[in-house]
Amino acid sequence: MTSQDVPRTPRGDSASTRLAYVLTGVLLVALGLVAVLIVSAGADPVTGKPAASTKPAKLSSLVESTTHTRLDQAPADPNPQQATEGWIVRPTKVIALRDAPGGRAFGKVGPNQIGETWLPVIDQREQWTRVLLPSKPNGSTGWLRSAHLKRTFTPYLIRVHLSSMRLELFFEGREMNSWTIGIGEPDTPTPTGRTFVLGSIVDPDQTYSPIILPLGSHSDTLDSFGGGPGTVAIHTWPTTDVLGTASSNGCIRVPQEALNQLTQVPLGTLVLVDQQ
Amino acid sequence: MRPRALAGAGATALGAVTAIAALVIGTTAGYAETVPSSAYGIAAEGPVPIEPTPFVESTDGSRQENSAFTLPENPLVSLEVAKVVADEQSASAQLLNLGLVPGAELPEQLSALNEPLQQLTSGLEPACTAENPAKDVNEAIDDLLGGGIGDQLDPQRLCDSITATEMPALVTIELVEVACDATSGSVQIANVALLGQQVEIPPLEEETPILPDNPLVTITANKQTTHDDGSFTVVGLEIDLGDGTEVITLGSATCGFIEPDEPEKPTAPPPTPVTTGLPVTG
Repeated sequence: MTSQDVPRTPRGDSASTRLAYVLTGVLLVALGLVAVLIVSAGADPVTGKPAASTKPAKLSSLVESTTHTRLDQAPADPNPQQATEGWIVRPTKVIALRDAPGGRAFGKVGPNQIGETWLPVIDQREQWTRVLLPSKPNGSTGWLRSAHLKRTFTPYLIRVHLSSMRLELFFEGREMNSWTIGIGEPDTPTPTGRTFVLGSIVDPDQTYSPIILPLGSHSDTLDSFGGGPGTVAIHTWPTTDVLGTASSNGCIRVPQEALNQLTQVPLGTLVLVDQQ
Repeated sequence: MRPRALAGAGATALGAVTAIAALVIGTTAGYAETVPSSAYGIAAEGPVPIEPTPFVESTDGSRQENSAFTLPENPLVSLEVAKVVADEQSASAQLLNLGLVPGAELPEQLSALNEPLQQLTSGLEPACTAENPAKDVNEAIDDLLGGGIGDQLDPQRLCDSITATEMPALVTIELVEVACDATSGSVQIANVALLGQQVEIPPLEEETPILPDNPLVTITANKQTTHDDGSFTVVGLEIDLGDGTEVITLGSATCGFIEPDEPEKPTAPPPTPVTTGLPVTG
């Protein structure tokens, strides 16, 4: 009998048939070796990236970033007309501002200044978050350690077009409304660039607007104004004839209807001001 | 922490083989659909087809279990218990007391394997009837496989098994356990016996050649595959007879995922105006 008869041969009729099965079985046994080989070939460990060390900052010697201060060492905003995803952060305590992820400390920022401090996120790198700052000069940014930030989201975006003197309010990427506005006169222009809603205040010393929305930007031509640091703000005006004119000292004057809606916008909401 | 490639392998005098591996792959974020996790014990494609048995699938992320104590009638595989589990992103299959070719004969449906089988057995044909059968069997197996596997077998017992009226299953495996968790998989195989003789598997160096090319059977253990849809499958054993003529899968676990709904972003509330003096540019 030949081995070609193997599959049809009754059990025990052919030693060669049995041997064939033994051989097959041995091959099957070798599966263990295959498994071991596969495992051995993929056994290279993944080396963990060592954590970067950051020199601790001496907070007491650092200037706090507020609308009243100036931090000339702050990195400039790299994309002054770029919208963001809408993430905003608030420091959980006073923490250092750095000029790069893990970089040199040039200032500090805390959880409160005009009410709560909410800052728009413009970049993130691992455990670091880059934000816009409320201090001078305009377009200042800084890196914060993400672990010390409370994070939330604003679905709003405010666009201000100086040439057309229009303000547009966006919600989740869609324009909700737009209004004709008043802007800074040529000698005291409203600064362009990327800033944010810094606060919502009732100022008992002012009568022109029931609520004022200070922004993170400042007049480029008035280092101080009325005893303040030249903070640009959004607010109403007692008369409507200023709308559609360049007649303010830098602030953005809006109709009451606009203010009613803009006061619903969370602090930290991005404000993009351009020359269009 | 990123998934880390792990390795573990061992062999004992009782013939236990354990292999654990994890596959490092990229992130699975960004898939647009939900892919269910699933698992099955045994399946075969070819002239002797076996539907995946037992089979389980979790389409909603809930834990699903199934088990089987018998297989569809077939001449290739037998088992005592198979249990499979699947949930949101993990799955497992556990097979106990497997018997491969339990009747120790290939079925008629696989007659296409006769020719390659003859090629492989030509060197062994006279072994058990030779002047020194035990030695011939031992050497023949070693010639084929190398690695000293033949030395682990008692040649006389092999020949006795071959000539016995009631042959044991060709190969028995006490445990095949396959599991995946998201993008990593593990396979454990314990207590492998050939014709009743437990076999020790020696430790191996990397890149050690195991099986010579042959047209009869290829075996892949711990086969891990990442699919285009983002799911991940680990197969305990894939036995390919006759270059795809019959493919038997022992233990398969596929880890899918439930695409989470876009999480509601924590929207900040409108601010409460603060009464304070701050001269602005007006």
